Amino acid sequence: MCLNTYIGAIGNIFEDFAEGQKRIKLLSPVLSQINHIKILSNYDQNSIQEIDLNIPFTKDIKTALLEIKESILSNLSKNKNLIILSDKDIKKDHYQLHPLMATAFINYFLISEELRAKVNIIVVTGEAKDPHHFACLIAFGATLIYPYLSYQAINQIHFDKSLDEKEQLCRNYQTGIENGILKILSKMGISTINSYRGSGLFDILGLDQDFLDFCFNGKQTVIGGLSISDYETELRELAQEAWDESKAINCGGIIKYLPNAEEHGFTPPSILKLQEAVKNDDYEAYKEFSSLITNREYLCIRDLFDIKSDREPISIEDVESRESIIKRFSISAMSLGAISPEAHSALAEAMNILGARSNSGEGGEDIKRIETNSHSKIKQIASGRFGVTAEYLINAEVIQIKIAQGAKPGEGGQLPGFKVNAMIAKLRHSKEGTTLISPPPHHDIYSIEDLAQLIYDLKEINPSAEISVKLVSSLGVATVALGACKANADAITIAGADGGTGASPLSSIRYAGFPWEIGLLLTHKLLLENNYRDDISLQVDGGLKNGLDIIKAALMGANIFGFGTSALITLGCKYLRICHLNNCATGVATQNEVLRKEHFRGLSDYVISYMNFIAEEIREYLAHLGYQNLNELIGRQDLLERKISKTSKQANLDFSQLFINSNDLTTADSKNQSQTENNFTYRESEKKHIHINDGNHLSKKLINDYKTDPLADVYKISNADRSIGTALSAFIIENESISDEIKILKKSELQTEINLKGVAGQSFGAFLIERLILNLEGAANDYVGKGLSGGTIIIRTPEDRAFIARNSVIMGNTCLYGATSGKLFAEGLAGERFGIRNSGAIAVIEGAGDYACEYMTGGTVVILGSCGIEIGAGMTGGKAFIFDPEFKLANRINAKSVKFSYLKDLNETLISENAKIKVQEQSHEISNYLKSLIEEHAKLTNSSWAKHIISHYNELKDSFALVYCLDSKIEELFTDGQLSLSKLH
Amino acid sequence: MDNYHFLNSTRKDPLKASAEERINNFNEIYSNFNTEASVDQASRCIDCGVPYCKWSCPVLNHIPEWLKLIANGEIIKAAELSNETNSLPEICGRVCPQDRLCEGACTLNSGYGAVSIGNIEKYISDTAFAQGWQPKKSSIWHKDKLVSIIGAGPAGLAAADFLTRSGIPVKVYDKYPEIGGLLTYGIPNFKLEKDIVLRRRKILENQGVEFILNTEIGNTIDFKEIEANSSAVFLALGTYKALTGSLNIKKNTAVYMALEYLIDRINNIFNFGVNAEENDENAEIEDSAQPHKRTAAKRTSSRLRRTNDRSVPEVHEDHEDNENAEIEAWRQSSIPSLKNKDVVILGGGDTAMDCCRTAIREGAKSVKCLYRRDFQNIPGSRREIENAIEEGVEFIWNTQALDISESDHGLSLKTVETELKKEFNSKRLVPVLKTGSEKTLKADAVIIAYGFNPSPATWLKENSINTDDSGRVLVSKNTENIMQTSNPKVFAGGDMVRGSDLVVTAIFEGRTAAESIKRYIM
Repeated sequence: MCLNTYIGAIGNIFEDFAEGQKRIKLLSPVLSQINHIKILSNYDQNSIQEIDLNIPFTKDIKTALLEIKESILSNLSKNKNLIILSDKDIKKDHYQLHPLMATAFINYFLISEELRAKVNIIVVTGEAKDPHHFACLIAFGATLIYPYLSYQAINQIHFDKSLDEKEQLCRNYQTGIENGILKILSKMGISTINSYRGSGLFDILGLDQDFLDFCFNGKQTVIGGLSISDYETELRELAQEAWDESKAINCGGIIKYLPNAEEHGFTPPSILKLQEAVKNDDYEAYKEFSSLITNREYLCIRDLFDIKSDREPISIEDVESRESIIKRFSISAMSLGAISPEAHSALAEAMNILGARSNSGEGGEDIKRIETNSHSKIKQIASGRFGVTAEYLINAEVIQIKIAQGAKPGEGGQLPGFKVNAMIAKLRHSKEGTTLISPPPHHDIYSIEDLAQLIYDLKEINPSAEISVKLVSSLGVATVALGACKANADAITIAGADGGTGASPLSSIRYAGFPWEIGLLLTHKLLLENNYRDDISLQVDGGLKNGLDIIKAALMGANIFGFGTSALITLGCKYLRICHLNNCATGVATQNEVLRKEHFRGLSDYVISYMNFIAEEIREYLAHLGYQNLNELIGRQDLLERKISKTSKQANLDFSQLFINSNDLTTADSKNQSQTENNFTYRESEKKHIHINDGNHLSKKLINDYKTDPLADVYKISNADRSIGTALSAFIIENESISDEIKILKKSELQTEINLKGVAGQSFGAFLIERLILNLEGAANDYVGKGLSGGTIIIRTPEDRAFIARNSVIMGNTCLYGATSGKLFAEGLAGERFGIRNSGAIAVIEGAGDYACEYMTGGTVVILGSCGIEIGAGMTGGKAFIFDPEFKLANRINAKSVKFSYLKDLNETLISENAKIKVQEQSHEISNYLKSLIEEHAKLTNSSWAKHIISHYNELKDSFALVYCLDSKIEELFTDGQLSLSKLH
Repeated sequence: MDNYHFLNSTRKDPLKASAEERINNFNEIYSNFNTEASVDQASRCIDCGVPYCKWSCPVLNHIPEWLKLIANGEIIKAAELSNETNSLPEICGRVCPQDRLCEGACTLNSGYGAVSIGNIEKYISDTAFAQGWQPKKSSIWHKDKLVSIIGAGPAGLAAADFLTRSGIPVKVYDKYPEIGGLLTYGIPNFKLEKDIVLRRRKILENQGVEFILNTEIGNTIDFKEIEANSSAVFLALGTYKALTGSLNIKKNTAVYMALEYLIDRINNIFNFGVNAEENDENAEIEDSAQPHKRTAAKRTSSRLRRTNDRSVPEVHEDHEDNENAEIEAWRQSSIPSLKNKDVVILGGGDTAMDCCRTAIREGAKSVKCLYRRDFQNIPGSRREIENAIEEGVEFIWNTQALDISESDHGLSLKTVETELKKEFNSKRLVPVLKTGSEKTLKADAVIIAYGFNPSPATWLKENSINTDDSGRVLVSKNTENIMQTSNPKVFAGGDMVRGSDLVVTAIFEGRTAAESIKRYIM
């Protein structure tokens, strides 16, 4: 990725030496103080035009912008091609135009005047403070940004430091912003700032269409909102307040709750009231809590709506029971790394007692919990695939594929090393203290077809589980949800941005994600229109707190409701927002022994009380509305009506695009309008069916043969045979422990070998367990050994092949993704991303594409041939031996994550790492270990290249490089009995 | 930074003088934090996402923010921030019941020990002042405006502070010879040494506040005159009428009202700089030596008499029995020494504790405090009760006085035990008398600390300033003209509007009124 930024007009690429070919290259779009001065003083002064964004009170925004346009155009005719847009010159009786508004406006009119390529815009502003601000300005056309106020603030805060130190601090700030911009770019899959500039890659929420038409080239809005004149009023008020000397500078309250500042979902009184209610099992106190939530200032879209009814109230005795309502509740995914085991199991226990479900979150779950009541019924499978084994998946009622997280869409997760203790390391198949990174995407999902494949794999390993796909509320979510339906998902979760997620980056909490209402309404609508709504259950989560939230979510179309932060609050969480520091004083979000043992006071009873309270409150609402079951309300959007708006901003919001039938969206002012027939009313069907995979013939035959007949010598396999070995693994796990007959039968041979011939379909050997060996002659498609759980996969070339095995690709992309243990030997090359997120499997292959061993946290990969680029990106554990006779590795590895040592240099490396054990001996052992793996490969695949290496091992071994992550030492890599040096550990 | 500092370092308060030592003088009982201790203690703050401390603070002090500054050793910035929301942070640090407010709400208060917010607040301003720091003066000065403030107590001072910060000239009138109101005359030295108030006076004067003391409205100067010369007037006269519950108090007995007692004692110490023990012997001599100050003291007691003379009906919410007591002017001279006397104090609030502990310091033989609820249900600060117990005050919980009569050997109190019951519409537990549990208690002197009611001056009505039935001044609650009285030019705040409340609440009202007045006059 790169941030190289150029200023100067872009000339005609078809002409030599065209005018304006002189361009200045900068390494970043964030101007440092020095570069700012350099550019302004060295640039041809006749080419610069300055625009002041401070507008006199006598002028309105539109007039001001149109005047700016006129002036720019006339200056451009004089070849003043560098526009400096500055809000620095603040004056009394002037308000400041937001630089983003001005930049976008200028950007789009320059495009329409076909002048854009000639012009650069430098924004000098106090508005740009965090990476999001910079990214917005760049995405709407800014070339360079000079955040003068940030630098001034740094200098003022550190007024007593030396000039050098201050300069360094400003540079640190600049670097921070640059890294933030890179992260935002990466979330959109863009590599260079030049491609990002002017992309407009933001969803705009809360501005009205006129505003967008005027400044943002007619970008579409889903809910309308602020008009230019309302905004102008706000800007004027702000300017007036800024000049009021007696007023202290506002301390903020955006991220943290402050009294009399920005509204937040949870406030001190509501948190304390809820805790009081659950502690004393006091429904009245809960009602007080609930009314604090219901009567807050309008904070969410749902707050703008009231519920109404078309029926007379009924007696509460006629309403469905609490128990049946609670079945719709679940705990949102929170991993065992994030929250303490005590909190995690208290949630699970409570939900199990209530007959509802809790969610394991990413990161596995202790297998022992299956026998207790604290076992999570929803198991999550996320991009990191941490702790995702065959056994884990088989023990789930629901398997949730987490595509993204509501509070930080587009981002992976990171569990800092200091939170990874022995227990977590074990569950995640990693080592204590190792930082664990979940990559942003699932590397086996790049399309809906890929998602369908993953769902297929999961249904193979656990056919009775409901497969749910967790998506994040956004404008495109409905399309993805529809895709997930077509990919055979049983449920869709729409996660909103309002959830707590104390460990999310602040900029994500603030700027990323949409309210769940928008995602839910869009999804419900699109699924109905495409006749898919009956096939799927819709779950919603993100800041749900009381019965009314649930009623409104149901009316908008949700079937299942998830609670995250509010459930933690019942367990004692006080919303400290220090979850990422591992020092949660309430013992909820920490792994620290003292805090967990002495300060965690949560009981599953508290969660039970809370769920009962909400259910009871829902019953009261149902009785009041005259409905017996919550089911009858699902999707009844006609029962929602707009409240009377408190501000003109609110009044301008228009939700008609989101609702099924916009006529039903009566405002309070027009509530007497007759109801039109609702064509799309959705009723949850009585019998919930789970989609089942079409039985694969080979898969069935393998199970059948395994059960009854002896296995055939060789099975023919074609690329239509997907996930071979997965269903058999599931069958063995489910049956072997109960059926003694099979146990006795198979006792003699620990592993069963299945011989296959042909080209295997996708996910060959996915989640294969220890008891099975798949021996394939031929080749395989993508995802070989996905989630490998102990099994052995051998892929060899046909003996009558007419090609050189070590030059030919034998399996597809993303093989061994998320493998936790087992072995893979392949006589040929693997595609891209081989061994990604491997945390324990051993593999020997003869070459690999780009990004081999990405995000690896454990295991061993031996590559006997050439590799692509970016080896070991994001790797935090495990090791790879790579054959590199030309010593090209230095350019191929990802130097930010890994380092390497050729075996010839191993002695020196060990010495430089202060190895504790005899260096000679150790390096000899490592070399022998590598040799033994290659020998095994040669034996199992009959690879001629492996045999060649063995026979010339003494000459060739020096060309092997050992690749391992930056912050580990070689001797730490060999811990699990891989070396015979027993002294090692 | 150590994320576990709150776990590894326990809460520590500055050294407190031992009970034996401190009851012999009127010095403040707590010493100050040193730099090291302040950094250590401030670093315990975990900077909650929902700062409960700030939320529970009536003036919404930026507590986590200035704790962080102190943790980084940035004393001046901390002082600026601390003074930004609060006009008297060094006083609040001393007299606020932190265990009921910020420290009570502190997340660490459950299981770790709250951050020592109060002592750090005190440390910040004390240290910054010692280093010569002063709040910034306004660069503009609206000479054409003038706001007159009546009452130099916390509400009045806060309003004066916030108005002068905006460059609005302010004159503050007070009937006493020194500023501070109850801060000076009501709170004993062992909680707040008077130098602290005097230091603040200098700062305020430097900021442009003009004090006109020894001046009583309606007596020395007419309200109409003040009103005519001002752009707006802010009333902050406090509440001074003592409540007696249903007790029938006879003339010239040794039954005193709490405030009367405290003012009398503090006035002596404040004026003469000697402790109460010597007071009686030296009073006459000092009197003639410093005639001006003595006059002030006399004016105080005469004012009290006047207030008491008016038999305006009393309402006190804390008393289920609202039988109105008429208090007559029963005393012509100051209160005699309580040395070697058996003293009984009635009430459980902070004022009662102040009386108890003053009596101890005077050398009373015994000090008993009667309160009709129990320790769990006290209205005052727990810290103060604990201090009182340490100093030898004997608490008689769940007991109420029914009657005080004179006997041969002093006073005789008829008391009855109470039981706490939860009542439907009451948030607090309600004490119910247990019949048959009556007892008699002997005492040489009784001090009644049942709280105060507003004492509206007659000139309020004459100037169309309306009060409610209980005498509290009625003010607007709307945001745009908050605290404006029925006379548009006049604003009011503090105890005279709310009934008796905390110092910090009065400061908040003063600050709010200043904002409102600014909107009105600018």
